[in-house]
Amino acid sequence: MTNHQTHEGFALNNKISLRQLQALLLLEVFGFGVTALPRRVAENAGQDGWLSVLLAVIMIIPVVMMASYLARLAGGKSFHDFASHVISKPLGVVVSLIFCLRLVLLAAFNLRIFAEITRQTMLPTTPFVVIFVSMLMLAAYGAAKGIETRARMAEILVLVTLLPLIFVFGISGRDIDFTNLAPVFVATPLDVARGSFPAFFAFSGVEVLLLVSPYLSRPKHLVRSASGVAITIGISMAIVTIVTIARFGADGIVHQMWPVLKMMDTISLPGSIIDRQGALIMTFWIISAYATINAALFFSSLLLKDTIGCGQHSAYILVLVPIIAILAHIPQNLSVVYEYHLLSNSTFGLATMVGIPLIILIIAKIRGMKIERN
Amino acid sequence: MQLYSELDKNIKYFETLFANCGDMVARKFPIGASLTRHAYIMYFDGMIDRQIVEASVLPKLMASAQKMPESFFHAPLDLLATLKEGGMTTADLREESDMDAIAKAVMAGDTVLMTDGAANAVLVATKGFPNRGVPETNTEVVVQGSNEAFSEVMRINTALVRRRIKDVKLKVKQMQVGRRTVTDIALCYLDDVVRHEVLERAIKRIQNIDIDGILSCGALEEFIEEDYQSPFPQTQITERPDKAASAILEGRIAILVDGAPMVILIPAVIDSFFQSADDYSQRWEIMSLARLLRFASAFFALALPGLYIAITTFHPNMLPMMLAFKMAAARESIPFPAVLEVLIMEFAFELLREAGIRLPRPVGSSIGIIGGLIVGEAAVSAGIVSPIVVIIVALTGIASFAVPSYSLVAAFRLAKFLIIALSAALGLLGFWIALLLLLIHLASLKSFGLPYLFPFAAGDVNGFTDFKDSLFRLPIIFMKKRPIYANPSQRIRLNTDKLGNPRKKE
Repeated sequence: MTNHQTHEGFALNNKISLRQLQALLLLEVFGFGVTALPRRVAENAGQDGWLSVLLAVIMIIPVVMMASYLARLAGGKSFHDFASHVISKPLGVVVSLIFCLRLVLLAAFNLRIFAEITRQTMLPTTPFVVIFVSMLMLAAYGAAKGIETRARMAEILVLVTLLPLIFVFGISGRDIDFTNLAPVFVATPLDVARGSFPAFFAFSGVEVLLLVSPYLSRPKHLVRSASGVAITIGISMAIVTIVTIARFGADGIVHQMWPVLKMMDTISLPGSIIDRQGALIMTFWIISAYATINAALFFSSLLLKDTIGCGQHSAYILVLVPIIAILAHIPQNLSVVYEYHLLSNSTFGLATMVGIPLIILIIAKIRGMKIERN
Repeated sequence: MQLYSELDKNIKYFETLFANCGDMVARKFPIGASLTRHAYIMYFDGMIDRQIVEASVLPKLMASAQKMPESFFHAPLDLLATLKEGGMTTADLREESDMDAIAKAVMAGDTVLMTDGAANAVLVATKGFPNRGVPETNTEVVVQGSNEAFSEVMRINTALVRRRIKDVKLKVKQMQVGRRTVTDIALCYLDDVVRHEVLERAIKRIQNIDIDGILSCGALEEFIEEDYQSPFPQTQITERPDKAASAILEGRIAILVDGAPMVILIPAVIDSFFQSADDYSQRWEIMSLARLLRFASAFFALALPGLYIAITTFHPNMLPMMLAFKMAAARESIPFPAVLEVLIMEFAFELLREAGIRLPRPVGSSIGIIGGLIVGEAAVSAGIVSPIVVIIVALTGIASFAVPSYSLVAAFRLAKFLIIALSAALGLLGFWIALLLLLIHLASLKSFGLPYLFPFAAGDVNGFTDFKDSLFRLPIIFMKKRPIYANPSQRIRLNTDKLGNPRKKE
C-alpha cells in the first residue's frame, strides 16, 4: 500500500478520521443528552441552572482527556486487549463486561425513553412494541454495517440535524425573555453542584472514546479533537439551557418532561407552511435516538466480541438486540425508567466514565507506559 | 496447436472447424510462375471490408506471386516473408502460427493467408462490419454542446475518445470477455492521472469473469461493482463521448464494451449522477441553480408520496389550518385510505412509463395524453382519488425526470415504495426510519474503494474541493484541483499563474 492510499484512508477498511469521530460523538452525546437537561438542572439550581451545565463541562473535560489519552496509549489495541495488558487478564474481562453492561443499559433506557416520547407526542394509537422494535432494528442494521458506515452517516446526519437546529434557535431569539434568567447567582454553590450531577450524565456516551483506538486512521491529535468536541457539546448544551430557561422561566421548565422539545415545537417560524415544527422535532429526535442506541449497540457488541474472542461483531448484535428489548420493556412507566437510569448512571456510568479509566491510567503510568510515536 | 507446414493439412483442419459456416469465404489458388505452389485465403463475409481485400490485398498478391521465379520456392519460408513484405499494401499485418489464435482472428474480421510449405500464416486486419457510424445522442440530450454519441462498434468509440484527448498518456487497454462471444472490452484512462489501485481492481475483476457471453454494459457492470445486490448504480453509464473524455481527464476509467453504444465510467460516487454535460457549457450561476433543483427533485422523487401519506394519515395538525381544511375537503368523498390512493396513482404512473418505453415513438405521445390527462381527470371526477394525490404523484414523476441519471432515479423509484410502506405504517417515524435505512445503505456502499456518498461524507480527504462541483457548479476557474477520482499526486489541473486578473486594465 502506498503512502498516498494511507493518507487518503480509503483503501483502509474499518478506519475513520478524527473529523468523523467528532461527528459521531456530537450526534451520540448531544441529541439525547440535551432534551431533558434544562429541567434536570432547573430542578436543582433554578434559573442559575446554566451554571450547573458549565460546571459539568469543566468536569467532563478531564474525563474526555483521560479517555482519549488512554485510547492513544492503547496504540491500536482493542479496549479488552489493552485493559488485559495493563490490569491482568481476568480484570480485563471484568471491566470489559462492566463496560458492555453499561452500554446495554444505556441503549435499553434510551430506547424506552424514545418510545415513550414518540408515542405520547406523535403516535398515540400505535402499539408501543412496534415503535421500539422498529427503532431497535434500525439501530442494529446500522451497527452491523460497521464503523466506516457509521462515521459517514454521522457526517451527513450532523448537517441534517444540527443546521436546522441552529436555524430554529436563531429564530427563537424573537420569543425569548432574558429577564427570566434574572436575578443571577441566587442559587447556592451546593445547588449548582447538585445540578451539575445530572448535567454530567448528559454527557453519557463519551466513554466510548476508550474503545475507538483500533479504528482511527491517524490518531495523533485525538486528545485535542476529543476535548474540542466535548467543549463544543458543552457550550451548545449551556446555550440551549440558557435559551430554554429564558423562554419558559425556571418554574415553567420543571413541569415539562422535555422542555427542549417543547420549545422547538412552540417557536413560530416566520412564513412557514408548517404550523408546528413536528417534522423538525421528529428529525432531531429520531436521529439522536438512532445515534445513541446505534453507538451503544455497536460498541457493546464489539466489547462482547473482543472479550469472547471469536466471531463477527454483527453476530453479537443479534444476541444483544433481544436483551436490550427485554430490558427496555421491564420498567412499568417513564418515571421508573428515569429512576433506573439514574441508578445505572451513578454506578456503571460513574465506573466507566471515571473509575475504570482512572485505575487503568494510574497502573499504566506506574508501569511506565508511553504513547508510541509512529 | 501449431500450423502444419503442409498447406492441405491446414486447409482440412480449418474446413472441418468451420464446417456449416455459410458466411465463410475460402479459396485456394496457385501462385508462382509455374503455378505449382498454392496459397489459401479465408475470411468471414460481412465481417471484413471487401474493398481492402479485393482492391489492395488480392491483386497485389496475385501479381507479385506470379512474377516470382521458380527458384525462389526452394526456400519455402521466405515465400511468406516476401508476400508480407512486398505483396500487400496494408500496414496492419502480423504472423501467427497458433491455430486457435488464427481461428479467433478470422472470426473477429481478419483475413488469413497461408501458403505451401510455411508453418505460419499472415493475418491481415480487414475488419469492416456494417455499423451505423457515429449516431446522435438519444438519452442524454443537451441544449448546448456536442451531439455525438457512442456507437456499437468499439473501434469507433475509442476513436471518439482519442479524438478528444490527444495525449500519449491516454491508454486503451484491450481485453476479451466471454468464452463464446469473445467480446472486446477496452479500458481507456490517462496513465498518470488514474488511481492505479482502481485500475488494477477493474482489470482483475474483468479478468475473473468466466461466462459464455457478455452482450451489454449492464451485464459487465454487475460483475465489476462492489455490491451487485444494491439497487443503486455504482458505475456510471453514458452515451456521450465528451462526458467520457471529461471523466477520463478527471482520472476515471471509461470501459468500452463492443456491441454496446454506452460506456461505463468508474468509479462513480453519488455526486457524479447529478452532473450533466450541459453544466459546463452554460453560465455557472444558472447551472448552480439547476444543480440545486436536481438534488431537490431527487428528494421529491424519493420522498414526496411518503411524506404526504405520513402527514395526512398521522399528523394533519402539522399543517396550517387552511391547508389542512382544503386537503380534508378534497379527501372527503374518497373511499380509500391515503396510502391506497397514492399506490393506485403510482401504479398508473409506473404503467404509463413502462408502456411509453415500449411504444413506437409516434404513438408514445398519445399514451401520454390518454394516460396522463384523461385517466387522471376521470379518476378525480369519479371520486377514486383526490386531486391532491394527482398533484403529488405528477410532481414525483416530473421530479424523477429532472435527475440526469436514469439508473439512479430507477433506484429512487424503488426506494420510494419502501418509504410509502413505512410511512403508511408509522407516520413520520416510519418516514424517517425509511430514510435512515436508505442512508445507512448508501453510506455502506463503495465504488472501487471510494465512499459512495463522497463528498458529503469524508469530503475532507480532498480538502473539500469537490464541493465546488457538487451542490453548486462554481466557475471552472475555481476548480484548480481534480476531483477525488484522480491519483493524489496528479490533483492539480488548472494553473492560474498566467491568467492574471482580466478586470485589470492592460
